[in-house]
Amino acid sequence: MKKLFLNFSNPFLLLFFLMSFNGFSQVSLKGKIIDKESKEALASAIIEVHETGTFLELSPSGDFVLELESKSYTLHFLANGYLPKELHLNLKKDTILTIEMQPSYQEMKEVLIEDFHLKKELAQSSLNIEQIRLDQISKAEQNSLSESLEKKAGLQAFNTGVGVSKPIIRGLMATRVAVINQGLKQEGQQWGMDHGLEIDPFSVGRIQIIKGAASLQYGSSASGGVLNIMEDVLPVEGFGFTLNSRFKTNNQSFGNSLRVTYKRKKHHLNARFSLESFEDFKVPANNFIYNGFNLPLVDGTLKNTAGNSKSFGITYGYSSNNLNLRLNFSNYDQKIGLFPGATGIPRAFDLEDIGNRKDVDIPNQGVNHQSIKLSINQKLGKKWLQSTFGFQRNLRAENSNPLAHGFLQLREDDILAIGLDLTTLSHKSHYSWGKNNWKSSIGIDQQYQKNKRSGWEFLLPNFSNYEGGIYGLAENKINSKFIWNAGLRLQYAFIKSEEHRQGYFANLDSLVLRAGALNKTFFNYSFSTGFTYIPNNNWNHKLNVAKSFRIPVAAELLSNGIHHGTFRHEMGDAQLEIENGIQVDWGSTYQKGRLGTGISPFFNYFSNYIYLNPSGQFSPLPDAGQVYTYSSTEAIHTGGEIFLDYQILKNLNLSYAFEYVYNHNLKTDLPLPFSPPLSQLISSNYELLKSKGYKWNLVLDYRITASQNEVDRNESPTKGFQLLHLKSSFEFKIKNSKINLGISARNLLNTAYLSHLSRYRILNLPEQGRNLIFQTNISF
Amino acid sequence: MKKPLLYLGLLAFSLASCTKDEESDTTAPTIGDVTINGKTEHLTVNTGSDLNFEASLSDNEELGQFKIDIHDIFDDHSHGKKNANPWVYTETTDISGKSQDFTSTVQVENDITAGPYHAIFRLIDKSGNESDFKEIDFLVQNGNQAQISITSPDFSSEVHVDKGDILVIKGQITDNVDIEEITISLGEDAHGKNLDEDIFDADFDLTGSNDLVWDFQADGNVNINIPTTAESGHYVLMVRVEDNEGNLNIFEGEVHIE
Repeated sequence: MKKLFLNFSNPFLLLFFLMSFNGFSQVSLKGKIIDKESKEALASAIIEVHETGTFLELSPSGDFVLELESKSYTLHFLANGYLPKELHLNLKKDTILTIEMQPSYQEMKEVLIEDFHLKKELAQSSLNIEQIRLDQISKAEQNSLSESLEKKAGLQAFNTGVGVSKPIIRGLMATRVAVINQGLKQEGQQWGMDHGLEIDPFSVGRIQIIKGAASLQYGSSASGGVLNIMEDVLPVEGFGFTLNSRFKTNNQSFGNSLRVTYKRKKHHLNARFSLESFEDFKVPANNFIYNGFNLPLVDGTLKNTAGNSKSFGITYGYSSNNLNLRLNFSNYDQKIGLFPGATGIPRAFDLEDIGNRKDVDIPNQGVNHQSIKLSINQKLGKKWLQSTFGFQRNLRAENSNPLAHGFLQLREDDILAIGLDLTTLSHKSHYSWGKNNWKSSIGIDQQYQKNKRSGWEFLLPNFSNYEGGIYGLAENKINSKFIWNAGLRLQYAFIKSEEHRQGYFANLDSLVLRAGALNKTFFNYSFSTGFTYIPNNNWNHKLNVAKSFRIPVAAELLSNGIHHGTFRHEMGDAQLEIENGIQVDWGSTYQKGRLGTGISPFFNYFSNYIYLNPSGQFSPLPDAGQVYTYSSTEAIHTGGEIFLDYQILKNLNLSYAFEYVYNHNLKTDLPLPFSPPLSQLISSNYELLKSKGYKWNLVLDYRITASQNEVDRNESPTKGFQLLHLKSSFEFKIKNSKINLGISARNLLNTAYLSHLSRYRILNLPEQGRNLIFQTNISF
Repeated sequence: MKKPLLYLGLLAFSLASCTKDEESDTTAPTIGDVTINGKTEHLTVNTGSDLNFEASLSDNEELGQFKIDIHDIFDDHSHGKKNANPWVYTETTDISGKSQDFTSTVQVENDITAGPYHAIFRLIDKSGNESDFKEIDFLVQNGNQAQISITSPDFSSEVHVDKGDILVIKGQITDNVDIEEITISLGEDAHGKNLDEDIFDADFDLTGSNDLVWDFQADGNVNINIPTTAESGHYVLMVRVEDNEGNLNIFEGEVHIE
């Protein structure tokens, strides 16, 4: 054995020696993943290295390169349409592998999920969790992320025209659904019905959906569920480029997104820039009836519904065996027009002149969302400590004509009706470990926010609030068939707001108190327990029981003014207390051969359910209707989903999904507002071609939505409807690049329908008509 | 394992349906006939005069509140002009019982800009159910708006024309200050609530700074061709004038196409 003599008198040599001396030498693991039957490259697979917690994507030709310390590893290989594969490897030197994956229609049965870093199999979770990877075509096809997820049973979207959409889980939305964007809870005044997600839909790859009570793990605003947008997997070594282009005929929408990645050993950079603009959208109607008046929709176009958005994000990442670090900066800008009748009484004079279809005139809304995030994932021995620090700044503006709202003293170009400037600081630390059959974790989760208001209309005062929680979770695998878990969370919050007085239009010198100063603290707890029973390879049963909480937000306590979001005068109630819920979630699935089926009913009882209730008193503001006050009630919320999946042939699949929500306001003896109607989706996927790197498939979706007659006071019932969507995508390779072309027809039959979950429902405006979408996606 | 859960669900479900003490009122109240000074349309008032509201209101259980909102419908005209001072008025009244004949009076403010206004009437019952709203348009004059005088044809009664005819308008518009814009249209409904296009539409922007007189023939050559393809029926000739102080005046004449 040769002895190497190191000359320590040279400082660089010394430094190099110290840096590389960590007990293990670096080796490279290279390889390729292929389809076991066709032997073709499987570029869509991802690799997970269990011990380092890293996920990695492949180059368009299916290759991967990993730099790891020479140790033992468990590698997981995942790909849609293939059986997952696990490989145990003792890595001592540079290694080259070829991994073969077996095509299967038993999808996602053992997919690994990150259930809060208790890395576990999807099957073992007692909560209803789904993890999906949005393929290129799907994510760009819809108008927004929330609408892309509507295909999943139990998920809906509340939209304001085109481009602004809120996710709904089992009928619960806004402050009852938490959207976590790569580890950071998105804070953008989500209580507002016309406030959409300030997230670039092109940037979303993997998303985890939790249906049901998730307050334990994710805090106050997750009593309905969570949309967890996961971090991008590690990119390929060297440079990587992806270009997405998309054009939609219905509103002449043109969107482009460019992603550039660079990876060199442990460091990587991931940047994305997206731009989109669209014109007024078209509906299959030439008029609408509101309040007995027959009003025009010239050329079937909804005036002033054009918009544009711009988004930029860049992430620097470092990943080694024991440390994963990501630093991300992102900026999102959007401006969307509001249909003129939506913020007052629609006037035929106004509607007869469509004006410029491209520009965004008043009334409109604008949002700018910036965030800086640092996440550090550190391995201490066998345990992981994960921390996320975040800063978010959300600027929202509702613009309209001051003279149309009685503010005659203002100049016509002073259009800022309501301005909201929200700054949020977040911190989350989570420590997890496993021993024998136990997996445990503890954590702290806190957030501080400050809101500043501006504009001539008043809705919310200046306020600051803080929420902090500590929690602990434990999971015990009793045997291969039975796993149970339990957790507890304690939460503390305070809100401090400033008094606000505003001149009354009839006498500007008289200042009317619109919101009193408030100083309030809240304290609550959440617990959850559940079990999973897996009797054999075919059956899986889950049951979860949770006590959840939701702390009322500033808008529910302090608002007092007219909000574009609902076309109403909304008034908060500072006396409101915490919304408590008992939530039971059950799921059973059966999978054998070509058939997969499942049922997931849920039952929730909320005491102190907070919602907007008509007060029976008119607003003193000019042209305003009655005041709606945030009130608390007792409510029952129940329902469930059923799914059926059948592989008719190797390349032909049929699926059926059913969703139903029933709720009841125990005080008013009426349903709660905006309940999603019963809906069914029949879907078929036909693979016409899949060989030699070529893939061509055809997807047909038939949506059948029932009438919704379960309505609250002053809410109109909505007739049922059926929609047909068709989609075809063609994928091929040229040298080292992968090209994907898509054509979709949404609402192929140009059906005129009203959506119960739409901001414009109150005006009886129909939804978008036929929309043809053309896409090209290139990766190289 | 599953059965008890099913029973729990059913029990809760039936409990929910059992908590009905009384029927929840979701029936909206109604605003029956509404008039201002006894009229529902073609109302012209002067500043300083009264507006007498009368409305018959009814509900299946208990009435709550009635609101009247008045504001201008200048529709993008007049704002920004010096001295422009449109009127904004709102009144809310508590009411009770199952039906009520509501009356109220308000004096039209002095010093407000002349032009078209409308009153919106809203009704809610005790439970918070909202009625459809009703509106009445009216014209306010303050003496400073332009005067529209049409000498031919005679609009004191409905004017009859045949398809293919040319409707020749003679007369003058006069004002004590500079006239800025004149809009003349012949269409099915002067208030623009229908969908059909106007038979005639002309917009005159008077660029001078002291246009005090405008002649329909000499300055506007207002000769309206009634197309042979026009639909027979009742139409309205509308002349709308705005002066540099923001005061608007509107003339509506009835025309019948045979």
